[in-house]
Amino acid sequence: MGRIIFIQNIIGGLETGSLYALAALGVVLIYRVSDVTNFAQGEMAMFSTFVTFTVWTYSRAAGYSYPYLIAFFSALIFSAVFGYLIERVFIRPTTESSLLGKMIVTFGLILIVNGSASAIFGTDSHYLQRAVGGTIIISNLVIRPHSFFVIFLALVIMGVLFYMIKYTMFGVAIRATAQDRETARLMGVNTIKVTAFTWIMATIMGAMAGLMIAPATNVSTGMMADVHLKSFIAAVLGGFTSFVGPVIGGLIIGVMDNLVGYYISTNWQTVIVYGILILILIFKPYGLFGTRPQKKV
Amino acid sequence: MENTSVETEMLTVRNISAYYGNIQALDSVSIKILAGEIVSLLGANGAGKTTTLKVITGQLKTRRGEVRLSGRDITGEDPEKIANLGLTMIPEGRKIFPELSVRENLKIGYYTRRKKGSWQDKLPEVFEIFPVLEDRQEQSGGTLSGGEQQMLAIARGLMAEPRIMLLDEPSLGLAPMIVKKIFEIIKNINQEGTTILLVEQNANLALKLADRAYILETGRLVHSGPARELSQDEKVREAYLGSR
Repeated sequence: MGRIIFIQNIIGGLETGSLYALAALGVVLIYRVSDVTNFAQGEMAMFSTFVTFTVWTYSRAAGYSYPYLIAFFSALIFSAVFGYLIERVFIRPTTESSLLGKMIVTFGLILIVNGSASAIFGTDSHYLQRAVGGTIIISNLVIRPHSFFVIFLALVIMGVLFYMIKYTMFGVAIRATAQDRETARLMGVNTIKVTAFTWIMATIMGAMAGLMIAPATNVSTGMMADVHLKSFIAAVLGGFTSFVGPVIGGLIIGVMDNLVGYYISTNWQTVIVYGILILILIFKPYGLFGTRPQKKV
Repeated sequence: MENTSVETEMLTVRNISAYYGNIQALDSVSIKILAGEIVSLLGANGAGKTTTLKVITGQLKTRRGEVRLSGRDITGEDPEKIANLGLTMIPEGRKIFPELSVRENLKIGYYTRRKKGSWQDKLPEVFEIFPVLEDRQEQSGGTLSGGEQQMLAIARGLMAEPRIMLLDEPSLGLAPMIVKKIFEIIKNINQEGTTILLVEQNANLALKLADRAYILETGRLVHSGPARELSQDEKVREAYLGSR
């Protein structure tokens, strides 16, 4: 019995952890390429989820055969367009601003996106189905196929992104832009396009995190608060200068949260988990996989 | 047969003036480089050599004047667009990507040609010129020595198969032996058909290598002519070659 509960905690931890990882990777991708810390990532994900929810509701009402599938793909398309528009309208014009200025822009985005969501979709909380329903029971071990779908989806998205960044010409261009934008331009890299791409990719990853967490949190304007906060912590823990670090960071936080909550105390869960994280940061100030940033002197 | 007596202009800079804020860095500078030439741009620190290059590459906008590449007006174009037209800059301080491997640095050098072929096919050619880079392929660029980094910067530029290569102080901070080697390589690159604009503080070396040279002083051109004549000119010798 003890072992089964342990496994359940691990699976549940990996499920939420992979969502933290997805969201964290989005934040780090943007940060590395354009020095912008996108504090609005969570709100943008919430907005995308609301749009997805609306498509889902309409598709069901209209009697389409696969309402969730339609909603899922519209989430991909909408978030890509949404990410591009945010970059084009709010971020690109402020390229020359100070780091603080850029940060303030994304703080402003929180208010704009959240305000728009409340005005358009209302402040109610709505149910959204799981990607895969049902439960599987193997001798007392209760598993939701949804958990595996979430982990699988996160792995696929991250796998594609990692492959691209590591091996393709465009991926090398992304890393070159992250290290030295001016020299990347001398190599012929259109860094504006690279930046736009990172916003599109990050917004898609955020939207996927939103869509996958929604069955647990319901769709509401405050739905991403927890995922968003923890994705930032995951990024810091894993290291903002690394692409792998935030993924590991996300998984660690997801699993630790569950284990401490179950075996030690739910009341002290948050305190203990973040106490440990702070300890790690004392010994690894740039995160587990981070290095002292050596770019942009 | 190509008629070599016809002089084709590779790069023409006409009356450019550039400013950093309100401080004028260039005052009506004009330079002409013919296809196949090595032209050197000399001058002391702060004379405006790098600024001239930055106007050519599009990194700095000029208030007046124009820049033409093979007759095409490229004044005020973005650096990535100019790079795509076959002009490659080897920036001051090498500016290799420290966290990319040597291989990846060379790969990104091929970026402008990515739709025309495969970067791997180009590698052997570059490794033949710089064997040391082949041995260090998987190392990250930041771990190379200064001389190796300069070689990587030039190799990365060669990957783009440029028509004209601009080099900003390739000798800076390097041991004389390495500098000699790098200058030999530049000469070879030129003999293979790439036009060269070489910016140098080391006038002695540059005048030996170049066909012609221009000398800048506080943002203005003060001398120009065939390199051999300039290296024998009394005033030039006194001011730049350290002999009297």
